Amino acid sequence: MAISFEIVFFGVFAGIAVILAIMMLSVKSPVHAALCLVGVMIMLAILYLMLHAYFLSVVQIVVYAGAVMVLFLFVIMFFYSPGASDPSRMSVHFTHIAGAIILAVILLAVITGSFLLSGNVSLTEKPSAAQMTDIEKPIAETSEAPLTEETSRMIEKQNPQLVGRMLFTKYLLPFELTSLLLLAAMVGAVVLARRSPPAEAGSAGGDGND
Amino acid sequence: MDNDSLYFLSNWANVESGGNALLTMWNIFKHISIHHYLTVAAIIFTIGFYGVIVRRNAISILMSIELMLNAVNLNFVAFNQIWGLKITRAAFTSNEDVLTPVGQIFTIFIIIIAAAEAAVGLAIVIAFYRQRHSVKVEDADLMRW
Amino acid sequence: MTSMEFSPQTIDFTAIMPIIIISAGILVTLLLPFAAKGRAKIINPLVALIVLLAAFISSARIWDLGRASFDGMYTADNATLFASFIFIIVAFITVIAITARYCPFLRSPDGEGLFASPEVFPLMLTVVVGAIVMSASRNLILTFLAIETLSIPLYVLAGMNLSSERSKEASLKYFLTGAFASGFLAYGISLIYGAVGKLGYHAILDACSPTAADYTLYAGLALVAVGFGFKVALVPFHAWVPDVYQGSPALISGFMASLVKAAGFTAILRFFGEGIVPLYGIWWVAIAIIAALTMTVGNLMALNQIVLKRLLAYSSIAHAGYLLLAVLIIGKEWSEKGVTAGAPLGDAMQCAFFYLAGYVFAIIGSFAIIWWLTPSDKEGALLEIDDVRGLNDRHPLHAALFALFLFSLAGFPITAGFLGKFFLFASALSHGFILLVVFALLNAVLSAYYYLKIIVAMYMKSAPEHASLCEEPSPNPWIYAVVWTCTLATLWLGIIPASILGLLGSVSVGG
Repeated sequence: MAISFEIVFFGVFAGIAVILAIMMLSVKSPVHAALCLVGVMIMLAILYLMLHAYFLSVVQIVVYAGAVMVLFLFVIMFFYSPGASDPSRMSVHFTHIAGAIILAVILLAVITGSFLLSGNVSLTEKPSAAQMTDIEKPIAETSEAPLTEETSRMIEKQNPQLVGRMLFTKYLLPFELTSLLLLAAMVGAVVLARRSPPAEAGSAGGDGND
Repeated sequence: MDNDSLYFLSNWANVESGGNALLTMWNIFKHISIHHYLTVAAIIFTIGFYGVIVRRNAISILMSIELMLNAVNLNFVAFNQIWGLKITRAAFTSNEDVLTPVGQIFTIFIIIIAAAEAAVGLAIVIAFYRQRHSVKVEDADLMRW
Repeated sequence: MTSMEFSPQTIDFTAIMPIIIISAGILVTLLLPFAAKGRAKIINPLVALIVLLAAFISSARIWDLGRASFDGMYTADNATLFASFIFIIVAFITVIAITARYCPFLRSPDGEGLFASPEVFPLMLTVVVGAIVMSASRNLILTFLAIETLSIPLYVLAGMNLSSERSKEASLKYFLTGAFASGFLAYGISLIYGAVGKLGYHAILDACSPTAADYTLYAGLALVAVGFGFKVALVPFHAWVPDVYQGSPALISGFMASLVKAAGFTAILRFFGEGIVPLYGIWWVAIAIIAALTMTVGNLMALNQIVLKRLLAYSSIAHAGYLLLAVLIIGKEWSEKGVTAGAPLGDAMQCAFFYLAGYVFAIIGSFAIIWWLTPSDKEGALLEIDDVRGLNDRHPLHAALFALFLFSLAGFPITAGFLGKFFLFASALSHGFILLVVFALLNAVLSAYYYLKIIVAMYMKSAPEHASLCEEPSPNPWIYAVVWTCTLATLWLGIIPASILGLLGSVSVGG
């Protein structure tokens, strides 16, 4: 059977994401590491598109790859001149290699296990929908199954109108909680990063302030 | 409509039965499914985990944590593709209030949290740097780690 | 689609009134310093206190009503409310103590630098909101966000002592481990979502079946447990605690050791009790082993500590181990009887909450005394057992109160700590955890050794030549208020527990 386009796309973008993630740990310059992380995030945004999460895909690029990583780059520039290599970067220890091998083995076992578990439902005959657990259902369209009008409508309904609607109705409480969270983060960042306490409080306090 | 077509793209392709495990793996692998996305997420999460353990630079550790959170996001979006649609479908038939792309909503919250953590974390690193002129975690050694 | 219609009228505002009040307080305390200059800044902590008082009253008003809001995502049942009382009282005490340091004309001589920033109050109020939501949440989305709302301000508060390098170090370590733990928690939640499809505790409860193994769910639960374990510092996820408690300003250490532990355990009890109790047969062994490890490692490591704050940090780890007994009891009780809405909470919650109430006052009192005794030219992070030698000769009152708190932590009679341990162990015994209770008792004996070591140093050793303590601990009325409140609460819970037990007896699972 022919390999579908989707798996090729998936393979390319997922592969780039994984390679960039590994590069993030291995490149010398912290700026390059941050750029690798941006790359991973953009690749993931493309995977979100393939998963029909259009709104999230945009948010991922705008907020994550855009705002958050720019913040990272600013701070990295604050510490290092561009192109400088991080003197404290990972030195290759025996324990690190051993740890990597152990982690890789565990990961491989989990992945293989999950694939094989999903595979032994039935390989000879087409399982009925009832036989498959939800996790095993193929999610991508193949040439045999074009999108019906209804399914495309459902998908469209889900994004981003539905996300927005849920966020402001059923999940209003967590959403409002994030406003407190962001406020606290902002205040906290200002408190910690300011060079010295305000003069007024300093004079009131006297000792102990730099 | 019949039960099968209720499921979004539930066309489970005829998988040629392979004699050995490798062929079985390949047969499963070449039809893209949620497992592919979960696998990528697991790999990226593990790379991030490894980075947190081996990197000694606080900013690199923070970036590795971001990598872990990104893997979580991918997991959520992939699972949402199953549950969101399934529950959407239920809503079309039963009209219950179950129309919930929980996975996508959680992903948005994680992005918010990642942004907040990055802001606070970088401020902490800067404050630490001001006093110790270092961003290495080994230099956080006034108290036994 | 019709049922999706949503209007503000469907929100039960009385249930979330405490957090609305505190959120308003956050904004006011944040903006007020810009309006009020100089000495008028005393108004800032006063506002914080008033806000906490209002939140307390609004919580008390919905006692026994079992309100829920947002589709049951937020439950203001009595368990939540009792936990809220603990959080609010803890915050109240800490705000008063900080006020003593913060306001110039009330300032006591001390060595921990200074909370120069008025931002400490909004940050503390944010922590309280996070804690209340955490204890009320019945949905993993809300729980996760509440944990973050609690944690992020605490990362900052730990580094709040602007002059201290140790404070910054504590902040960095707390942040890195906390963010790492959040990653695990989130990954675990994503796997649970994959297995269940919803994140409400009821949905998880329905999906948990002990017969059909679902490894995705199990892996998710394990990772969530790891995340929780980091937050409440269970062994083997405890390594950050001693450094963070030692480096943070003493009052913030007390705040963390009491409030975060109480919030974490309320959330754990709720998640394990209302969420995954059908899987009790699977998780109880793991929890029992972790409980035994946490007690033992905490106590053994505390044995040879010489720095007071580190010693208290390790002892707080041991206390988390005892509290895990309550998780086991609740699992056993509810997996046998089944969870029903409106049912009385039963032994486990009563014991856990009584234990927490007793523990909270003793640990805050201890940290407040340490802070009080720290001389202005020394960091509290360095105060050692040797420094309090002969404390009784110099400051008998301080020595007596400190000894009382330590007795309570060790579990000696007439203190809250004794009854807390007694109820907890008796309940565990009656549920058949004999081996674990024996283990816990041995640990309690072990812990008495290091608590008594401090008391012996205070009462039976002579003072060191050069005084390394505050010559004259400030006769500040605020700090007196704090320490006496903790003292009275410790004794009150220890001598007349019936009042609180009566209240707890009516604590029930919300509908």
